[in-house]
Amino acid sequence: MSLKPRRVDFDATWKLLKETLEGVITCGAVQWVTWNDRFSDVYKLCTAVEPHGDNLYQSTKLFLEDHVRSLHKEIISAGDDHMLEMYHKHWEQYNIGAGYLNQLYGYLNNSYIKKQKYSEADVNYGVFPVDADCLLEIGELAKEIWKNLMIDSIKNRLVILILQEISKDRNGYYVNQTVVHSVVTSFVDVSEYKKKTPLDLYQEIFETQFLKETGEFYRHEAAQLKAECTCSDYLEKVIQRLDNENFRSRKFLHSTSYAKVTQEVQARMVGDVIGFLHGECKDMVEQEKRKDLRNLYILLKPIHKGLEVLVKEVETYIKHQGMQSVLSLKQDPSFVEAMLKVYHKFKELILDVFVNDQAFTSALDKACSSVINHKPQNSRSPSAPNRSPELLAKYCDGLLKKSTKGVSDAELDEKLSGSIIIFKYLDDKDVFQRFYSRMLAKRLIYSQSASMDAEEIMITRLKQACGYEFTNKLHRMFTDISVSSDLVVNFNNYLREKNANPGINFNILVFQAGAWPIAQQNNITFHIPQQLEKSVRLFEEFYKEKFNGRKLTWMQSLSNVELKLGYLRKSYSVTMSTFQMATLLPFEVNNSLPFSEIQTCTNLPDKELCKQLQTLVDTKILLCDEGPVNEKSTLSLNMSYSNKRTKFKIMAAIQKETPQEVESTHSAVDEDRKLYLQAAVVRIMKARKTIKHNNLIHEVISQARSRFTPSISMIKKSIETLIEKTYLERVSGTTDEYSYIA
Amino acid sequence: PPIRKQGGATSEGKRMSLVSREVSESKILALFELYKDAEEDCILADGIERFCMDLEVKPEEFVVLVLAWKFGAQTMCEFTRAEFLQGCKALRADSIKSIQSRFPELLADVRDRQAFKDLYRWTYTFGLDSASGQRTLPTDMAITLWKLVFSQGEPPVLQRWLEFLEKHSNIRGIPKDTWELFLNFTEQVGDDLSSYDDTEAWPSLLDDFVEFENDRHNQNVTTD
Repeated sequence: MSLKPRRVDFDATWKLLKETLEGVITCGAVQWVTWNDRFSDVYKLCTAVEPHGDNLYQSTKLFLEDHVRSLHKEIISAGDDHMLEMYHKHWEQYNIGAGYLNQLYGYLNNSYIKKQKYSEADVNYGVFPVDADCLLEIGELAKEIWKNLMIDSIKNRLVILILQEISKDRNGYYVNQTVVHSVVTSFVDVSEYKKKTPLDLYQEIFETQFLKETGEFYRHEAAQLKAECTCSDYLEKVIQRLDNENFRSRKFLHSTSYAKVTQEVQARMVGDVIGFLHGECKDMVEQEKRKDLRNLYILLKPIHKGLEVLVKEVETYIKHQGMQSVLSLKQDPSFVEAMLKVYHKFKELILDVFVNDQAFTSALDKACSSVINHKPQNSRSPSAPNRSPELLAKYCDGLLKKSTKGVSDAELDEKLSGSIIIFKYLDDKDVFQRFYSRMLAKRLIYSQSASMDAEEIMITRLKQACGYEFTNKLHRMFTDISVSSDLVVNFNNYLREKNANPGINFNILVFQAGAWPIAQQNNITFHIPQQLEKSVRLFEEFYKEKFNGRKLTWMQSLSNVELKLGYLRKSYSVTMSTFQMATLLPFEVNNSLPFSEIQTCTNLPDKELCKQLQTLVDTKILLCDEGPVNEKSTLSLNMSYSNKRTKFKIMAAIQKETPQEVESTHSAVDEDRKLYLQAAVVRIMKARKTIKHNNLIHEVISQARSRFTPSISMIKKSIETLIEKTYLERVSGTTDEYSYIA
Repeated sequence: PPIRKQGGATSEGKRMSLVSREVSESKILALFELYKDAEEDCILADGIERFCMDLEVKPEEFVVLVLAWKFGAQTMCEFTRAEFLQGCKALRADSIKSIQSRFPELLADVRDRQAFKDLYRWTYTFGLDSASGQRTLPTDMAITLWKLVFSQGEPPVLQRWLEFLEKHSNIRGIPKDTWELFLNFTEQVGDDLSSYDDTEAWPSLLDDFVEFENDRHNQNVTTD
C-alpha cells in the first residue's frame, strides 16, 4: 500500500465504510482485516488528490443522526416501564461504539479536524464562541448528536423516571442500580468533551431537580422523626439517614454530587431544626451523655456556627464542675489535685467525644483558667488576691520537700507535671514565682529538698512553660548551692595550709544577693558569740583573698547550728538556729539569767529575743518564771530536761511561714510589676519613639502576658510615673500620643 | 506707637524693645526698691502684700495671678529684680497708677483661649515650692490654684472635681501631666461625664474621678 495521494471514488469508498460503521456503532463483530482496510480508506479519502475530508465528515454525521433517530424511536416505544432499561442498553452500546468509531477515524480527527479546531487557549480565554459550528472529532460528534437528538427530546421523561427509581430505593424497594447510574452519568459523559463546562447539562437537567426533591424528602422525614422520637433517637436516625444517602449517592450519582447531597440532607435535618438540637445541649452536657454528645458533635460540626451553643454549654459545665470541686478547697494546696481531676476528666471526655476538636479544647482551657483565676467576690475585700499561685507553690513545696510519705519517682514526676498544667492556667505567674522561689530558698538553705534531680526537673519545666527569664533566678540559686560546696572544700584546704583552726566544724553557703528572695534590710544583727568569731573571721579573710572586692553580708538569722547539751543526765545533740544558740550560750556560766542580761550578751532586738527565748521555753530547754517571755522575765535552765531522742531539731517554729511573709510577698510582687511595666513601656518607647496611647497599652499587655495580666490602670500609672520622671512626654498638641525623651 | 493688644508670649521680645522707650526704667527700679526685701534682692511675701495693698487688690485675687504670669514670676510670693523690671516694661507701666490702669486689659487678654492655656500651664510651676525642689503640686495647693485660675469662668465639672479631691485625702499631689490634661478634660467633656472615654489616654486620676462620679450617680438613681 502506498501513502501517496491518489484519486479516490468517494461514493464507492463511503458505501464500504458505511457498512462497517454500522458494525462498529452497534458493537457488532468487525473483522480485523476489514477494520484495517476501512482505516486506510479514511486515510485515502482524506489524502486524495481532491480531498474528501469534508464530505466524509458530513456523511458520517448524517449516518450517526439516522442511527440515533432510530434508537430514539425504539426507546420511546419501550414505554415508561422499560424506557430506562432501553435507554441504558442503547447508550452503553452507542457510547462504546462511538469510542471505536473515533479510533477508526483517527486520521480524519488528526489531520482534518484538529487543524480547524480552536486551540485550547482560545477556548479557555473565550475568544471564540465555544460551541460554534466548529468541527468535532468523530467521537465527540457522536456524543453531540446523542445529546441533541436523544437527550434533549426525552430528558424530562427520563428525569421523572430516575427520580421515581431513587425514591423507590429510599423506600426500600429494589432498583436496578446499574441502569439508573448509567442513565444519570450519560448526562455527564455526553458533554465530557466540553472542557470548560462538562457538568452543565447534568446539573441543569438533573442535579438541581434531584437536590430539590431530596430536600423535600428529608424535610418531611425530619418533621416526622422529630415528632416520633426523642432527641437522642433523632440524632441516631439522622446519622443513619446521612450514611444511607451518602451510600445512595455513590450508587446513582456522579461524584461531584456526593457532597451536595450530604449538605442538603444536613441542611434539612440538622440546620433547619438547629434550635431543637441546641435546646437539648444543656441536658446532654450536664448528664454527660457521651453517645448523644458524640452524635450531636458529628451532626453540628458541618453546620456553620452550629457548634457554638454546644461549646458554650461544655465550657459552662466544666467551669461549674471545677468551681464545685475546688470551692471548699480554696485555702488548701490540695485544690491543685482536685482541679487536675476535673481537668483530666474533661480532657478525656473531649478526646473521646469531640475528637479533641480545637473549639472544645479551648473551651476547656477557658473554663479551667476561669476557675483557677477566680477571685471570690467579697463585699468586704473586693480586691482580695487570688490565692491559687500561692497554693500551687505550696503544693509543689509539699512534693519536693523531704517527707515521711513514700512517693515513687514516677508518681512524683506525674504530680509535678500536673502542677505544670495548673501553672499554665495561672494569670499571675509572677506571684507563683515569688512564692516558689521563697519556698525553694528555704528548701535549699535548710537542705530540705527530697531530691535535687526533682528540683531541677521542675525548674526546667517551668522554663519550658514560661521562658528563661522567668526561671533565671531559680537557676542562679542552684548554682550558688553547688558553688558553695566547692567553696567549703577550698576553705578547708586554706585552713590546713594556714594551720588555722576555727574551733568548730562549719559549712557555709554564699549567695548572690539579687538571686535570692531574702530581704537584706530585715537582716537582724547580733553579737557574734565568741565561739563563732574565729570561724567568721577566718572565712572573711579567706573570701577576701579569693574574691577581692566582694562584700559579704552575714545572714545569721538563716543559719543553724548543732549544739551539744552536756549539763543534763543524758547528752543531747540539738540542731537549732544560731540565734537560739546565742541566747543559750550565756547559760554556760549561769543557770538563771534575767532577760536584760541575755540581751546585753546577744544584742538581739527585744522582739527577736523574745521570739527566740519563747521557742526555747516552748521546747522546755529553758524555764520562764511566769507567763510568756517578756522584757521582765527571768529565765533559767531546765536541769531536769529529758527527751526520748538524743538528737533533735528545734528550729521548726522559726522556719514556719508567717502571714506577714505572705503579705510581703504580695507587696513585693506589686513592686515587681510596677517596675516590670515601667521597663516594658520604656523598651517599647525606645523602639517606637512615638506611639499612640492605645497601641502602647496593647503592646505592654502582650509583653506582660506570660507573667501576669496587668490592669489598664496599672499601665496608665506606669506611664504617668514615666512622664513625671521625664522619660516620656505627650506629643505637644495631642492628648493621646507619647514620645520618648532620649 | 502704642500696641493695644498684648498677645501670646512669642512676640514678647519685639514688643518690649518697642515699648521700653516709653517707660522710665529708673522709675520702675525706684518702685522695686520700695517693696524690696531688706536682705535679698527681690520682693518677698511682705513686699508683695504692700504692693498689692497699694494696687488696691487682694493678693489672692485673680488679677494678681495674671500679673505674676505677665511678670513671668517663677515662684509664688516672690518677684526678682529682673522679673519686676521686665514685667513692668511689658506692661508699659512705671507707677502704681499705670499698673492699675492695665488691669482691665490683663483680664481681657486671658479670655483668649491660647493665652489662658499659657496662664493655666504656668500656674502649675508657679505653685511649686521651688526652694525645696518640689516637682509635684500638693493637692491642697492645687485645689486653691484651680479655684483661682478658673475665677473668670468656671468649668461645669470643677466643683465636683474639687470635691472628689477633698474627699480622697490619699491623693497627695497632682502631677503636672494631670494638671495640664485637666484643662483638656474640661474642654472635652463639659458637663456630660457620659461622654468620657476611659480607653483614651486620660491620666488615671481622671478615670478615678469619673468612676467615682458615675458610682455616685448610679447610687442616687437606685435609691430614688
